[in-house]
Amino acid sequence: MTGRLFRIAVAILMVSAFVYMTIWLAGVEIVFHEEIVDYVAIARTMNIRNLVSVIYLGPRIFDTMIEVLVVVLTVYGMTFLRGNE
Amino acid sequence: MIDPGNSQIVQTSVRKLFPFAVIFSIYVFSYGANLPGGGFQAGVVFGTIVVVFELSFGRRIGSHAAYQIIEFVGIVILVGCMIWGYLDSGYFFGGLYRHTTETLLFSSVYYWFLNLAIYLEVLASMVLIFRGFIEWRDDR
Repeated sequence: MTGRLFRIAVAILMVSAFVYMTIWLAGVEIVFHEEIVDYVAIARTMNIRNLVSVIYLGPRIFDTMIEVLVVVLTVYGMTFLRGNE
Repeated sequence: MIDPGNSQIVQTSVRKLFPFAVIFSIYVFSYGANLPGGGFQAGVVFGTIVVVFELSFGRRIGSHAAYQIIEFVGIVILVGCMIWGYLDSGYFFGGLYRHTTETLLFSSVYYWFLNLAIYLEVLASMVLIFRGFIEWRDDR
């Protein structure tokens, strides 16, 4: 039951990411920002002091989320392979 | 060669170290927004001490299903924060950063939840991945 729930959750996440990339992301204009983001000002606004957290849970939150999905897919892949043995 | 599974020294050391490592991991993720650390590092600390314990004693702490549920809860919190931010401001993960308090622990409520989500996800993944490698049987 838990394994099936886990597979369904991963499948929903993958389909959502695929739909997002194919429909919405294709029209996004990529712009190179030359200005430096003031992370200290962001940290003050969010009332936190760890600048690493400011970056990877702030402007880079989607990178963090995709990293998390990679780890989940690794676990799912191992579970899938072991299930086929 | 010393077999760690039968070493009284290793087993005693790991048994004494285990609760401190667990508390330290909770501390690292709880104060991740204001002190060095964060959810990922804390999850690695917890996952590593569980793996070391299992290698030393030759028995599992928690079932596969339990860790899969923990991992699932972490993902649900992460996706929930994303949707919560969208409903609040119209942007994924947006608009929630303004929820702040004066305390050091919850100086930014949103960051605490994000760290919690990553902590749960990473600790469960660490254990599941290591178990997968350790228990792998290649019959080729």
